[in-house]
Amino acid sequence: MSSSSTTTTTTRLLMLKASDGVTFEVEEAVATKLGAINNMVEEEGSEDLICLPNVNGKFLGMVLEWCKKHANNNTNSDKGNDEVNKWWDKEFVMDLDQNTLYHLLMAADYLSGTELVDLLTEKVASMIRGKKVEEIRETFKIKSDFLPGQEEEIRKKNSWAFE
Amino acid sequence: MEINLSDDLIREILLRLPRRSLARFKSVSKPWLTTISSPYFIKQYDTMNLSSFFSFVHVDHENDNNGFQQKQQLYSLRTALGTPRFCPEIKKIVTVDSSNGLILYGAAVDLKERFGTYHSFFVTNPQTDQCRFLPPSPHSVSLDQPLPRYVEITTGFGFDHSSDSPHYVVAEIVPMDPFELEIYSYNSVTSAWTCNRANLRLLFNELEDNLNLNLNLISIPRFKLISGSVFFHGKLHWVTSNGDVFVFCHKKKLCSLIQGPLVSKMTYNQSRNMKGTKIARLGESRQRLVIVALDVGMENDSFTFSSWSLEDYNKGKWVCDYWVDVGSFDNIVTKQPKYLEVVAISPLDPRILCLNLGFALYLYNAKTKEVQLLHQYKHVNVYEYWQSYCHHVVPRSPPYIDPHLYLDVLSRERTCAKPIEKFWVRNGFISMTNACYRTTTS
Repeated sequence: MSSSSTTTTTTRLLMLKASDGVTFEVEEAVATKLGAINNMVEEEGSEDLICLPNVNGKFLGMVLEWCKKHANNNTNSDKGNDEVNKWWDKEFVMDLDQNTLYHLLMAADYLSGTELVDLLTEKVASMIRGKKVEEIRETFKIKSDFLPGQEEEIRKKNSWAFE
Repeated sequence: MEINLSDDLIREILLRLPRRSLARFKSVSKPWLTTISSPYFIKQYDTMNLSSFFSFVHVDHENDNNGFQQKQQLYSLRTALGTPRFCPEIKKIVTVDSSNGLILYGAAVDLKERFGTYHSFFVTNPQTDQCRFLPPSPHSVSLDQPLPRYVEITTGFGFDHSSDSPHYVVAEIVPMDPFELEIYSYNSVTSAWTCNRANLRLLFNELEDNLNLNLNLISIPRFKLISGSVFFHGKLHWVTSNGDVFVFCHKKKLCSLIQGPLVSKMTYNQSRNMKGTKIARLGESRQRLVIVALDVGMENDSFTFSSWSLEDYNKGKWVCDYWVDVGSFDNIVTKQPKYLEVVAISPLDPRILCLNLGFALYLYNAKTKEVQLLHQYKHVNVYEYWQSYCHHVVPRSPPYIDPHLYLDVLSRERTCAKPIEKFWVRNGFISMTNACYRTTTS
């Protein structure tokens, strides 16, 4: 049970600069939901401009949108928060196309947004659970590195999973 | 931009997949095979997906034009573990019990043209969707002459996965007269049902002799078993309506009683309408048998949870874990429940309970009095009081058997991965005849 006695002091604003030069102005409380930014803030202290050379503006924007929602929901009343967050998370991942999803996941991972990574990996898992081996290879750009015969052997051992 | 997920991310994704997908994805590439097969991954996967208590099976009933259809779903804390697939001939599926990762279902199998409708048990391994039908138990071979309604049959299920010869056992306890029970038990090693009788007078006398007590059998209310068996120390256990524990050892075909801890010899129920009821549930927690009792006040205004652990199994020594006065349920859940049942007790802490309130499953912590919604039923209807869910008891380790091998190691029976109906028609009836022949009455 988090006792949220939020004494709202003057909210500090951070500038986040994405790889393509797009900048976002966000409250510190929102941005620090991301582990990576939290670390930077704690280490560098006074620096208000944070450069994120590995994240594209489009996906940084989406990650921040998620952070904002969760930060807002958490400061609201205590009860029913989980429900609201869950519902909102569902909406958030509902219409993501595959490409966006994977890039967003990479961005969230890079920024150490653990909760968001959980949400997105769950979504990816639900999308690939029924896929064929060949489809997986295509999705993740993986080449089979098995020796001839090896793959058949493994398939045979796990034949129940192919029925 | 290239999609290039790190190994860590791939791992996180794999951890959230059902076993079936994992087994398939072993053949994606060598790194994937290594990841999925590594003991560390397996351990992490099990703690994440099977760690619980939070895991349960729920049969969702959905009406449609053809009568009613069912959707079964296995839920756990993080992921829906999968939807068991059953052939359309199987109707009215109810989850009966679960033990060490296997689930026992009861069903009516409708093979109208050929055989009519049969009641049957089947065991599934939710990790693999494998399914084994049991031959009908001898007393239910013919559904044309069903048992009289007032006969309350209690079922038990145990999967002994840790012994040298893993096997499961299903038992049905049928009361014959107030002091006589018939016990039908099925063992997956012999693939046959056997019948034994137990005389309650003798059992109580035995108990009296052991304890130097005079239990005064007449004063004991009608003997009744509360469903929901616990497989413990290789034996099946049920709590009786007077709070004792009834034990059936399927290896020796012996029954015995352990005197219960409940102070007053009240009549305990499994559940039902709330006012003034006394509800008991047998479970296993911290490697001990545990009885959790719930007393409901006459005006539905007070609830008292109490829990006892069987500290010394052989001496029958119980220790009270807690006694909590909950007060009214109003401040816990918004909707006043008309129905209450303790579904499961956490294997790690007897204070953590899973409650069925008729419209949803809740997790209840008797220490902090916190309540957490686990699962809201989609369809609350006439089947509200039906036992359509059960706690999915997770496999224990060590020794560790890969859960997808559970059914394979059990017996030399033919594996029935999917074509259930074929198995049923081809083998089921053959087994059924065998079962009748092999039935012995002692």
